Amino acid sequence: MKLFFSILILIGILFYSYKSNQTHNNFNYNPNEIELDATNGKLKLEMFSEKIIILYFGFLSCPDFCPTTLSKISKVFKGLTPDEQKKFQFFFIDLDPKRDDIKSITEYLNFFSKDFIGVKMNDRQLLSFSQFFKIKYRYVPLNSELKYTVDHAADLVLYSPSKKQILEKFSHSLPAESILESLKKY
Amino acid sequence: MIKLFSIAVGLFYFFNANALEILNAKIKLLPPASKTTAMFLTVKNDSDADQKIVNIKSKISDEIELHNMIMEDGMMKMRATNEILIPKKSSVELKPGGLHVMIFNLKSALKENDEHEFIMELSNKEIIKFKALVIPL
Repeated sequence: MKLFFSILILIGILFYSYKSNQTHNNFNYNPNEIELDATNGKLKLEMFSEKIIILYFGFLSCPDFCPTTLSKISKVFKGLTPDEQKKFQFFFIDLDPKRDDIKSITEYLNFFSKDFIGVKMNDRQLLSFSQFFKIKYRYVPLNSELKYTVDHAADLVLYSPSKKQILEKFSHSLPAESILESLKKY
Repeated sequence: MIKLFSIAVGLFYFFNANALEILNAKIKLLPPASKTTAMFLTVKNDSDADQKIVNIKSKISDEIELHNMIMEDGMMKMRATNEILIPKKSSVELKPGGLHVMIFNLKSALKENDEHEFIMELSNKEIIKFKALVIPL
């Protein structure tokens, strides 16, 4: 009898965790199929199935951390051989669609590298997309000229579109040399 | 003689009036379209009193603010702050990923290697002038 109840409870726990997992991870969501409004036109991540995608989520009025990361990435890319460079594609996902338009995102990214692709989404797209990549962000009113800021996870995400899988995440504090070393392994 | 002495004392105080020393002030060169940028510097306080920076002004912008970056709950957060404390006999570095000066609504695009003048106001009403260099960071 005791065993029966334990099994019942176990099944209950498993079922519950499965359900909560499902709503949380959005099993049906496929970032590869979403049509994205990018700095070089409309595209889908599945078009990059031969590459590894490096994603960074940020916003243009962030003058400190986001540009620091972008110049770090451009430094990393310069450290790769041309053949190695071809294996990767960098994407900047804009977290501030209200303030940033595709033209300013393009100008901004070109400053760091002509090969970077920027993406602008609407609020709903952005929410599911960032949830898939487990990137937290939040709009916070600010007593400043800026009016509001975007708190956001500053990790770099390595994503394989063909595997539909996150391969690795690099912490915001990881120096360019370490990122370069990790990328060379792919 | 007394007159000369007081001039000497006056000059001494004139050149040593600043409680704080500003070192290595740099403005981050950003894409020309960007109206916002950040300034970083080191503030050295050799005096016997804590000092507080309450304001920074310049001709290049009418909106300059003191900000701080905090890493919390796995998120990078930028917050405005009213003052920056420079404890006595110590120095504080305003650097990327930490305390910094935000410059909004730049009146004209910044150019690499340009120098711009700034005025720093302390809580004790003291004013410190310094120059900052525009460089890619």
